[in-house]
Amino acid sequence: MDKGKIKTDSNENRTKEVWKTIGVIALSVFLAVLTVVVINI
Amino acid sequence: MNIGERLSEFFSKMSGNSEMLIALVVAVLVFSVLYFYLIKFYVNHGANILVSLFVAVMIIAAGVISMAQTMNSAMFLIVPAIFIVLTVVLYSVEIKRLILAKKSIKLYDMKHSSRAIDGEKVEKCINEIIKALQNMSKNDVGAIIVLSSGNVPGQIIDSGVRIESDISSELIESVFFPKTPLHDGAMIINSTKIVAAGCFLPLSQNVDGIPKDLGTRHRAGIGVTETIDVMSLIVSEETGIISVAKAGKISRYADYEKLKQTLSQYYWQELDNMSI
Repeated sequence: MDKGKIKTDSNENRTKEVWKTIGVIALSVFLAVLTVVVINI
Repeated sequence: MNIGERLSEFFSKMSGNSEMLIALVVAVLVFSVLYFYLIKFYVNHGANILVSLFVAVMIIAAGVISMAQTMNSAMFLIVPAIFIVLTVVLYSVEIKRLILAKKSIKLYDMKHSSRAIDGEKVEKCINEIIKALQNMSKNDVGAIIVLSSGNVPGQIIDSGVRIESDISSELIESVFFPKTPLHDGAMIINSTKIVAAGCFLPLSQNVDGIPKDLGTRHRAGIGVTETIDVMSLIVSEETGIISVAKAGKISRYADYEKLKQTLSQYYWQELDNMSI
């Protein structure tokens, strides 16, 4: 197994978590807009 | 009226009416918050398939309800309602735990893992952990060691005693030596540090998937991996068998090679397509 970077580095984990949260926010807003539009048309 | 006409009627109504626009923005915010917590819950519990299912059903339902002119469009709200009820039914234990522990949930402070760690130190940690596990196995000393990435909730750490020490086989074996004060709980390891010992872990709620001869120690080791992305190393007090638990599954009879592979996976990132 290639060793390379040590996985338990907390900066890597933090960056991954930030991107995950941004993705969830974007998805939530998209679904919220969809809900509001569908209910009102 | 087709969908296009209904949409343009909706947008023209909205553009002339600022009160309606504000109400719609507030509604979008409220639904965003609701969907955010629902999706985040699924993601945190490894249920990415539920996220995909939720999005797919929402889009399909939106399409069907929009095209069906006789259907009341408020019926669209049934879809998120069904998913909320489904979540409560599937995750009742986790939700109860979240509600009861709400005041004290905090992630373990990651400042101690932010310092630079080198490969030699990592190999030493791996060897020390394996040595401790094998010694404890030989002497039928029960143990649970949780390998975390700073993601163990603070309430679990606080249920034990903070140690904040370098990893050594002597220290690990001392902690789990029978009748010592900390031997009965779990040890939490974060990177190259023993964070705490004597910690209480949530038991696995999986009634059928775990062999009946496994006791509470194994259930605790498995249970913590069901809700948090960690690995557990368990030594049986009765048989000395070393097991590895991950994502709610247990793999028994872990030998030196298996332990070396598990710990290497914990510490090292696989680089499949490393670019220079």
